[in-house]
Formats: sequence, structure tokens, C-alpha cells
Amino acid sequence: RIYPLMRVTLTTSDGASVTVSRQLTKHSGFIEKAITDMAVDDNAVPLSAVAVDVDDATLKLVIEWLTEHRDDALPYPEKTDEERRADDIPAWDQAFVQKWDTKEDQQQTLYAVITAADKLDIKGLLDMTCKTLANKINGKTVEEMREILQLECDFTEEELAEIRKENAWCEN
Amino acid sequence: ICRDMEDESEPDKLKLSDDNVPPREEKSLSVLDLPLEMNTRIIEKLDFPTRLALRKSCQRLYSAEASAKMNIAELLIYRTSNDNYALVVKDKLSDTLKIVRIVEGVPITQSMHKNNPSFIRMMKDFRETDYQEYETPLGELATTIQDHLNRSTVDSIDINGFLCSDSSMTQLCGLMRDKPIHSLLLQSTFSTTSDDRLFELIFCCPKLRSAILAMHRCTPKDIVVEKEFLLLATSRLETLIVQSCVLNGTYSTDDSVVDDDLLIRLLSAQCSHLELFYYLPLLTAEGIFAAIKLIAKSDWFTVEFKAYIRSELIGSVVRLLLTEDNFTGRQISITMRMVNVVSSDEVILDSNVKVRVTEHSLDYSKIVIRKEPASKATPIIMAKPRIVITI
Repeated sequence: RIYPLMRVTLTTSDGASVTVSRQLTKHSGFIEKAITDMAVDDNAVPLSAVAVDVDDATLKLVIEWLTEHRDDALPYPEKTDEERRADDIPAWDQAFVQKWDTKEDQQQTLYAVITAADKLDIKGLLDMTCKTLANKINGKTVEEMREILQLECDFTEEELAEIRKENAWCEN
Repeated sequence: ICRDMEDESEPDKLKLSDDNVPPREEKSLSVLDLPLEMNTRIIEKLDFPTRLALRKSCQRLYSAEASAKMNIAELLIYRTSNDNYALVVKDKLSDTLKIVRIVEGVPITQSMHKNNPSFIRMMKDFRETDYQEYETPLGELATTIQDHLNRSTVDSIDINGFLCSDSSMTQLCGLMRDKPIHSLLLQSTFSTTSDDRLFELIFCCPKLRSAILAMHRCTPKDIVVEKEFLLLATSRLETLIVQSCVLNGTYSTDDSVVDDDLLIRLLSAQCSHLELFYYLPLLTAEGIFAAIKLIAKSDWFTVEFKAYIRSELIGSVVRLLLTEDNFTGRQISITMRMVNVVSSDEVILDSNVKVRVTEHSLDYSKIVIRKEPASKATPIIMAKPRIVITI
């Protein structure tokens, strides 16, 4: 049983410390494993600090998402039909991500949160952010994709010709 | 810096505000900085055309695309002639179809929209091919099927026009084992010596919920499927449809294993949609009546049963329904239609249970018993039974 008032202190990669409840950290496979490995008394308030390889700014976004999703069922469901879809992001999550659109580094924020969700093993957040990125490029041409993802073509002309040949069945 | 992210008075609530986001440290991230696993995870949410465009973006994403699973709603395989076959792949995330036709050993691949008239014509031709002329073991197609099953997450697989021998069934079990396939359609000629492989096929896919078996036995054994298979399949699946490709008057009572007792056991199992589209001459009016009552009492949201029964039973079944205490006084409507030699009776019980009997010949008739959710049923406000006969 996780008691809502139990606290855990997270120390970020840039030296900050954040204290949150176990009700939130239970969604992070990484943090829960760290707490288990420490074998500390669950009633200790706060628990010993857990170091996370995530910067302070990103961790704050992660905690904001966890706060909204604190009552989500666990364990996160295995890969389902719904998970393969990308057009079913809940309204709150959409607003959460759209908020970053006001930032110049919106794409950077998305990559940072995807990476953090992966490192902290927060499956729901990872799935949602991957869907968000997929939605940004679904239906786009290769040129549009390169612009959105800021990619440079590193293929030779011969390699591109070969890929066009492989893709011919769909492009014709 | 040390702060408590949660106010004790409202411990788990933060406001959505731009002000909450502190400035990020200066480090430019790219999609290429994400682990390859993340790249593939994102790519798996893209439709076919986007994935093909993405392959041309850069080397890294080309490789990631190659290792990302494709999402296939349906994988359909048709035998189109002795040496030729067609494979149709329906994208789960778009209306794009990939069609591979093998003509004289040469694959011709193209994509089409699902509403493309050419595709609709092509599918009609595939379906109308008399596959029994082209009985071919699965063997030569195993690699093609395996490629798609390994590369993709396939929801539904349809295999049409292959000879299901013991060896090809074993091969098919091997291909499908542990794959997350929800639905299987097998329209084939069976030369198998028992239903063991058929049973194994259903149990080797843990997520399989629906099996449609359109079968023709080319062995002296005329039984369409065995009792043990039916019992085990209905305990495992939500939908089981068994269609015999041969329905005529040549069946003797020895050909069927489905009697009243077995029918009740099948309808009491896990399966909520059971169709036995072959002649079940051992069933009696009392057995069918008991089946109707069982379906009417069922806790399932929707239950459907279809089968072919002896035509001579229709009158007795209807009489039993009209005299049953549980149904008398409720909403009962019988409609009889005569279309040439075909008549159709429909009995609506308790507003959401419907029984339709269609006489196909003097020998056999089709019976459909369906229980729908009450909200979908047509409300009938009547105090007494009503009988309407329209000719």
C-alpha cells in the first residue's frame, strides 16, 4: 500500500531537489525500484533522496503530468490497439503539450520529456509524448519531416535512388 | 535549491501555467538523440505512407523504420490460380492497402486506397475464385506469411484457398504461435486426419478471439468438426463460426455430432457468437427451444447462434415458444414470409430476443437466435401475444 503523504526527495542532474509524494512516484518504475533497493522504512518522511538523471525544468513538467495522472491504474496496460493509435491523446495531455508551443524550444521540451519518461520508466507519459511527436509528422512529406525534425539528409544520391525503388509500390 | 512540489492542503494539484516551467539548460536535442527504441516506438504510430517518406529522411531513421513493427489491420491471402496468389495488407492507421500479386513467380506490388474501384473489383475477383480448383499446400507461402507476421502486428489474418493437410496445419501453427492475432479466417479444404491441429491453431495465439472456419473435408470423414474441438473452441473464443462448404441433402444423421446436449453445453460456454453453418439433423424441437431459453437468460451483452436444422422442427419450435410460461404475456411477434419456396419466421421474445427461421428446402432450414442489448431492441408495447402472418 502506498500512503499519499509519504514523501520522496528527488535530486536532479543540475543539483536541485524536489520532494513529492509516493502517490506520484509509484508511476515511475525507476524511482520505485530505487526506493525498493534502498530498503528504507516506507514510513520515513521524507524518504532518502533518489538521484534522477533529469534536469530540474524537465522534472517539473514530469511531476505536473504525474500530478494529473496520479490516480491512473497501475500497472500501465500492455501494448494494445489503443496504444498503437496516435489520435487518442486525452484533452488535458493535449493542453499540457500545447502549452509548450508558446516556448521557442517546444520541440526541445518534447524530446527532453520523452527522454525523461524513458529514464524514469513512466510508461503513460512516454506513450503520450511519443504519440505527440508521431502526430507532428504523420502525413508529412520527407521535406516537411526534415524541417520539423531538423534533420539533414545524409544519403548519397545512389542510396536515395535505391530507397525510391524500394518505396515505388506505394509512391506510384 | 530544495522545494516541496506539493502543498499539504492540496497535495497533488499543480496549476497548468507557463510560469511553472523554469528555463531549460542550453543543450540542443534532436530526435536523433533519442534511443533507437524510442525512434521505433514513434515510427510504429505512423501510417504506411508516412513511414515510407520517413525512410528517405536520414540513415538513422531509415534503420529505425526497418526495425519498427508495422500495424496491419488485416492480412489477406488468396490463392488465385494454381501458381499464383495475392496478398493484401490493410494498414491499421490509414486507408492504404498494399497489394502483392505473384504472377508467374514475379511479385507485383502496388498501393491503393481502400475505396479505389480497381481494388474493389480485384477483391471481388479474389473472393469469387473457386479455390477448390487450386488446392495447394501452405508450404510455398510460409516464408511470405512469416515475413509479414514477424515484421508487423497483425490483428486479423484471412487465408483462402489452401489445402490444409496435417503438415501445412502444423506449419501454420508454427507461423502463428504467440502472435497477437485477434481474428482468424481459414477458408480451406481440409485433408487433416483429426481436428488436433485446428485446435492447436486456436490455442497457439493467446489473443485470438474470433475464428471463422469455412471448411470442406476431402476425406471420407464427413463430420465437419469434432465434438471435442467444438467444446474446447467455444471455451476459448468469443466468436466461432464453422461453415461447411457443402450443404446438401446428402448428410445422414451419422455426419453430425451436435445433439441437444452438446448444443446446450456449447451455448453455456465462453463463446457469445456461435455459428454452425452446416446441417445439424440430431437437434430436436425441445433442444432448440432449450437453447432459445438459455440465450434469453444469458448474461452476455449480445449472443447470437446460427445453424441449419431439420425443416420439420419449425412448427414445433414455434408452438413451444408460444406456450412457454416465461414468454407468454410478453412481446411475441411472428412474421412468416413466403418468397418462392422460401419462408421465414421471426419470433421476437421479450423485446430483445429474436428468433428467425428461414426454410431453405423441405429438408433443412436456417435458424438464427439473437439476443441484443435491451437499448437496441425495438420496444413493443403489448399485453398479450400477437401473431402476424404475412403471405
